[in-house]
Amino acid sequence: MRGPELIQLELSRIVGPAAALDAVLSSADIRISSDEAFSFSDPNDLRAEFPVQAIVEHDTGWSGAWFAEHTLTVRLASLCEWPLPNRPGVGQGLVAGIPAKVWLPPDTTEALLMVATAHAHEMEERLA
Amino acid sequence: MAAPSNPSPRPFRIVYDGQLIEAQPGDTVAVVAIRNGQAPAHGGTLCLSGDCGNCVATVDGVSWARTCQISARPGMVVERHPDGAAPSLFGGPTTGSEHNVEYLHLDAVVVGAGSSGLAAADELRAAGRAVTVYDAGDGYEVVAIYAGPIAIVRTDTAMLHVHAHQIVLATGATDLVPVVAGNTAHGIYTASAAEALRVVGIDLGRTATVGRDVVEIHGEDGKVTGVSTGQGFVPADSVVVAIGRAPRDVLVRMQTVSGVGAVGSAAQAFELPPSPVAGVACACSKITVEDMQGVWDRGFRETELMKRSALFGTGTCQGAACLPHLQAFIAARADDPGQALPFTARAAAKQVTMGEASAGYFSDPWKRSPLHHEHLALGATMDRFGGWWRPWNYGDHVAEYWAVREAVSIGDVSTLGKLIVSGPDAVEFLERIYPTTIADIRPGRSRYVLVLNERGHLFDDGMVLREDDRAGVDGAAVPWFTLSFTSGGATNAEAWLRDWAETWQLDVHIMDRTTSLAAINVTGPLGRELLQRCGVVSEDVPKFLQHRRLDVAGVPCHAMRLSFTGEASWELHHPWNRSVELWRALLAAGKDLGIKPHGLQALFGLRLEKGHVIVGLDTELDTTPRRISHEWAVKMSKRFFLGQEALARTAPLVDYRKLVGLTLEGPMPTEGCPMFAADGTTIIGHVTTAFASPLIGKSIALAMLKRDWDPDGGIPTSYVVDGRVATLAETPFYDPEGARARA
Repeated sequence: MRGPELIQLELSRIVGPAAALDAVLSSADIRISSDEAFSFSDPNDLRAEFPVQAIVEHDTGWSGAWFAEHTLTVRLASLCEWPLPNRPGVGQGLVAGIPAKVWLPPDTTEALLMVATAHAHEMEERLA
Repeated sequence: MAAPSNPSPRPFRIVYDGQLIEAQPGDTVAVVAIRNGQAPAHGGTLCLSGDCGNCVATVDGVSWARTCQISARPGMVVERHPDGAAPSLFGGPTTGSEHNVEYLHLDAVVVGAGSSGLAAADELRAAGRAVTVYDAGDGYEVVAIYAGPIAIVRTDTAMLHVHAHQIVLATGATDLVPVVAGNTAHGIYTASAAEALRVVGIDLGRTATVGRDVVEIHGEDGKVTGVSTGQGFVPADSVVVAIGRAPRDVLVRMQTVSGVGAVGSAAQAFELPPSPVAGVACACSKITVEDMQGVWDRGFRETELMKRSALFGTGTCQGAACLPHLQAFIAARADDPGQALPFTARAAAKQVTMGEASAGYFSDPWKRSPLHHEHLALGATMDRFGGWWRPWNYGDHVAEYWAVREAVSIGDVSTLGKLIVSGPDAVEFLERIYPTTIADIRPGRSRYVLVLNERGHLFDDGMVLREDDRAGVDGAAVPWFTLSFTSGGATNAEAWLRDWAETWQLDVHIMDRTTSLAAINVTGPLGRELLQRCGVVSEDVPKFLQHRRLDVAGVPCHAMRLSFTGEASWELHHPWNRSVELWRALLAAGKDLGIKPHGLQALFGLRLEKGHVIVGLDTELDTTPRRISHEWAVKMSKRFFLGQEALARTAPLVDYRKLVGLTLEGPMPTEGCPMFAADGTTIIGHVTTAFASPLIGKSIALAMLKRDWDPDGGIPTSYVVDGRVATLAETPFYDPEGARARA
């Protein structure tokens, strides 16, 4: 695998009541816990859909790269000390020793590796 | 650790325990000692392969050096460690060799240049791979393996962080050392060691070679006199023990992810030695078989538990010599074979010097702020602090200091912890978390807070900023807060808050924005002017402890007025991807104001002049607000806050620990420097941080006073620090009224 170039992601980040996230979000969003998720939707649109105590913020602090399924299972999985999730799903933990998330969206054979941009340089080096 | 090969073709002399002894070209230090009838250490089986730890000594001022791995050089000074004790921490060299950090990207790496390693290298090359072979004997000792995979390689001058596509471990096997009665005598060798000595022409005298039936090694005055086996007693000057070999697999056990494999002896199963019945089982920590039995009898019956209870595997050999015997001991007694599995291997596989450690045997990922390359472009010296790469200085920390005090400066504080807390119970939640009052913070205002644990010990500090309440659907107000934490404390802040929110079952929501928002601190008397030049109208510039959303040079910012430097300061929190734009705009706008960026070196001095503590540097794990004179930040009359009960219980007790300010003439003392009473003989504390203050014209320091003073008689006013008189001083050292910060 050639080293991926991790590019900055334009995301919305949501923390709020779990029931509200259940109601508003879909499998096209990246649900990382019962009360927290990332979305590719506009934060202003999302704010209107969530109760007022929910925190919805535009987030440019994450970088990512898309991998084909084959690369994922052959190379990326070998760098995880945890099993990759089934599709659709999100896995979180260390990838090559760096905190990261792996999102397997539905209806595609690709996967998104996400890492805080502060760690992106290190991840690129380790995957190079 | 391996030294360059000896340049001298003739015999030469080294200083050994104060005596001149002769060395032959090519000798290691251990071989020189043995050639001259000395023991490199004070007895115990020698392996001479870098595994056992029985030859460690102080070589040219570096303690715990494995003398069998160091080539002797003319004039080298070797001192044996005290018998049965560690070498003194004091009196060694104050400067050591420098070790750089170097990052390499390689294809295939083979560790070990023995037959298996070279065969693996040939095979890889035949497959078209670019292969690099590292071997300790060539001066490239791999001391750690991490996921990636990454190998950390020690050389004489650098720690190499090698990122490889594949790592093959061919580290071979090592001879087992015997664990029998009398195994601490001088004159016991493994079979490989004896052969190595024979090759270099050393006569070991009457030699008895024994196998697994060895029962006891006899000695007199610490020197071998014979050996008993099942066949009886054999007189001898030297005993050669051949009881089998064990894989040298500490690196193999260190990493189990793909990309790392083992070949040859390092990967092979081996036969455990007989369960030991007497003798020293762990030479590094002097653990006897009797000690092992005592630990076992107390219920510690797994390798991991015996390691923790008796310190097996924590010394020089890191288990290379003792682990097989520990496994054999447990296997002979345990019901479950799993109890005798090898304990976890951790970096570093061999001991490293402080210089090597600072160059990194770890592979923690260090974060970079979005301004990392801006700092480099400005000539910054970068250092690791609080989990981040940060600019230490930009070449002249004093000039940076004066820019803050007299003009304007900007600093990268993206590393600070930044969290949002919202929800109907947010006020109640934060009232319980923090020892200060939260409910009376008005929207648009902020307050400095300590963060205490349940024991009342300080583990972080920061700011609480109240935002406008949001209106809920039922008309009820939903409070909204931004919290800041220190850079080092940010990592655990979210988990800490979430744990308590869940424990108390309060309706709050917590979002960690630490790596989503960047932050730049504008500080100095011309800071307001700089902000106005960047488009902020005068009346919008936040006043002291106010905060506001505004655009600075077109970048949306959450601007917070506070002060860590002692001058008027505005922290500009902004989107991560707009940080470079804002940084450059501020520098351009402030060019004729004398703007300079400042690094941590200047910042640490600036805040020290103000007497601001840095949690973790000026505090200890059990520091209370009282010890740092921060009672003003604790409101004991509150209904409840974390640590309140502990503080109330301990308040009546005498506490000798107190953070005090000192001034002294001359250069700044080293952090950690002992603080003596005025008589100069009794250590009563230590310097936590220090700075040669350009403004005050003296060195200033914070120091933790610990003992031997009379709380009723007041804090002593005079001390001895670094051989000089240090005088108690009121803090802040600078602008005690805070007029400049509020200006």
